[in-house]
Amino acid sequence: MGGLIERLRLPASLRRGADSPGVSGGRPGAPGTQARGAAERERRPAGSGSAFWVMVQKEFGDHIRSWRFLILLALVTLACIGSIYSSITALKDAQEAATGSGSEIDTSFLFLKMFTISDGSLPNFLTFLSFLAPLIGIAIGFDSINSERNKGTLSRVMSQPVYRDDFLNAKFVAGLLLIAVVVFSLGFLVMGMGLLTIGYPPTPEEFWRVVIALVITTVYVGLWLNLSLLFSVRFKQAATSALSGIAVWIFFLVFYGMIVSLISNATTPDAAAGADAYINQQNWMMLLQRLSPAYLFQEAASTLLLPDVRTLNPFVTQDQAYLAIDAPLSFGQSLLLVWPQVVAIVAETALSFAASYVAFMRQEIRSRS
Amino acid sequence: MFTTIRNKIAALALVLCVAALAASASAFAAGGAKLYTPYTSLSAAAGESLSYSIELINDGDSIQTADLSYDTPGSNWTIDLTAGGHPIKQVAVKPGESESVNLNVQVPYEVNKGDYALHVNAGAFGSLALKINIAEQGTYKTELTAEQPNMQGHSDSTFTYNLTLSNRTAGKQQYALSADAPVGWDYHFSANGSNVTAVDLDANGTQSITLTLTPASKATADTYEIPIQASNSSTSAKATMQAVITGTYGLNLTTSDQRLSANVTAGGTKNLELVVQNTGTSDLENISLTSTTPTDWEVTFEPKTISSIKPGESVPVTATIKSSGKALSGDYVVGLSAQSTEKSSDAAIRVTVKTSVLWGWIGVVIIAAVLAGIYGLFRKYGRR
Repeated sequence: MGGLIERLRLPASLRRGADSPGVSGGRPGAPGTQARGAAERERRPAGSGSAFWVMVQKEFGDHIRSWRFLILLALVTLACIGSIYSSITALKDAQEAATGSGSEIDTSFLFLKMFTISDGSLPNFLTFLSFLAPLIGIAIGFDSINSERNKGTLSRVMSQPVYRDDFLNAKFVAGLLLIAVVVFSLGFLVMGMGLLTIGYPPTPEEFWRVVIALVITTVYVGLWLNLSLLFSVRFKQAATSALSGIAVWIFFLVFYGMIVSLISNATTPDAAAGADAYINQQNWMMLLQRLSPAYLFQEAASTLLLPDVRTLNPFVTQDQAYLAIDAPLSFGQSLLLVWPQVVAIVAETALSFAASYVAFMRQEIRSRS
Repeated sequence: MFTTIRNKIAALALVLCVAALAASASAFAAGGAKLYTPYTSLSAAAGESLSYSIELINDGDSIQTADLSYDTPGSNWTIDLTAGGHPIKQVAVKPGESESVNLNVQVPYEVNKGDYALHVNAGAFGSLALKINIAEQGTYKTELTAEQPNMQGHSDSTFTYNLTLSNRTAGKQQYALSADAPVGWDYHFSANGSNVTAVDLDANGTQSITLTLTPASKATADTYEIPIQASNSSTSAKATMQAVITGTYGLNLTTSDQRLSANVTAGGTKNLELVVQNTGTSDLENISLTSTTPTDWEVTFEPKTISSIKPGESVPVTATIKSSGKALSGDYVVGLSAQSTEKSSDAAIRVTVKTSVLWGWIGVVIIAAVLAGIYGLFRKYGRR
């Protein structure tokens, strides 16, 4: 964010001061500058919004042009293309099998199947997204604060007439915007390629299901962005915060499931205990699973993209299945079904942002600390 | 000796001749000509025709000629004498031979029971008294009979009666056929494979006629009498057919707005306005309402049983569907049925279970609270 200051509309004197290295700007809130800060507050409201958006633009542009982002984007895009190829192969196989046997392929929600089915050679789009998308968030956020701090640019920006929290907010908003752009681009890429290859247009309901699933994906990746923001505020070394972020990522996406299944194996009631005990234990395991944001996201997105899913419980009892018609849920009902998951993801994202916000605002900012 | 024998033979021949002459002379003296028929007293039915063969025997040695005449027992008896296919008035018989004439007697239809005497007069041949006994009172009319005048069926079946029309009059008649069916009923007559409204019948002829009767579709259960008539200006015959309609039973269960789907919140209740309709033509009694539900669901009906529904009428019923709290969101089938002893009707209702929106709002509240907390942090730490 070194070039940011030039783009801020600043008084000429201040700009000169900021441009010369080694000169620390006045820290807002410091006792000596209290009067000036108060004076600036009178002038600022007109310019503070634009200063915030200038920071967002700058941050956004920096990310777009960074190698780190390009490499990640290429990785995710390749994975997506691979998953689309896999799903289309599976669809075509099903079509051929159906034609061969003289029956007709079930075309209900065919468009959504591109996101959820796979021929087995590669995971489907959703799995890829839940696995790789957090990496984008981590990569965007892990060095956003500490590298600025280490380079000394943080204190220089803070010496400008901008609110202190605008700095963090701009980092977050720019990151989230970028994530939204990437996620929606990937989503629409899949939709477009699907249209080209299977030639089956989506119904409005299918379209909105995909859009809401992409929104949830954006919020989910925003959660990882906030986590890495928190680490970058907390740890002074970028490498440490990157490792912490990746550690959490690996923990939730790889080890957490194993741990839960270990616990599940250890606590499985014996056969004599009866069905109730078994259901109870499974419900507890489900609760444990749902502590993982990755699992919540998988549940939310796959339910939205699979209208046939009628419940997220580990069991459907005979009582519940008796006289039930095998019919897809409406969009609203699917959304209501995963609403707790959506709320949890949104809340976790908001809470992790709040944590990094508090941590950042309570930190001391010194030049070259 | 020779002379004696010749004399004896001559004397014998003479005696024989005299004897023969004496014998023939005695026959002539008794009339010489006679009338003869074998069956002098016959029994006959009214309308029948009798044929007598009457022989005229001439025992004389001269040709006998006689005028033939007869006197009839009544004015409406038809009698004629024929010989060689022609009516005859006079007959001549050679000596020692006989001639026969045919006497045809047509007994009228309108004749009383009893004995009737008929005299045939043939002049020198004398007269012949014939006796005809009429065993049954004769008629002079048309008869219309049915093999099976009573039939039973539903209101949607057709009734086919086989009738026989007999012309017991002397002449050829044309009959117009008509039936006096109840309003809304349809009928037609057919004879010889085609539908007819009138038939021609020769004297003493019979004709099979089929009456096909189609009841009104809403004919109620009852015994219907259908008078039918074959008539013309001079004669007519009547008969009465009976059609016993047992009535149909029809029961229909549907919702008042014909929609067979409903929404219900999991664990919630939904009122459904049903209509039980008697679509048949007979009363339905003791209709009970039952349901087939998913496990732990409840359906209560108000009223639970209907004592009676008249044909064509309907009774509103309120069904309250209470879904199980554990029901999955999505579609379930709830089967409702109305049953009487005679008939039953089912309605399958597709019930869509919806998740309660309450938790959705709670989620919104949680998110709002979190955002409010962040706003609080902004106020506390930011802008300084």
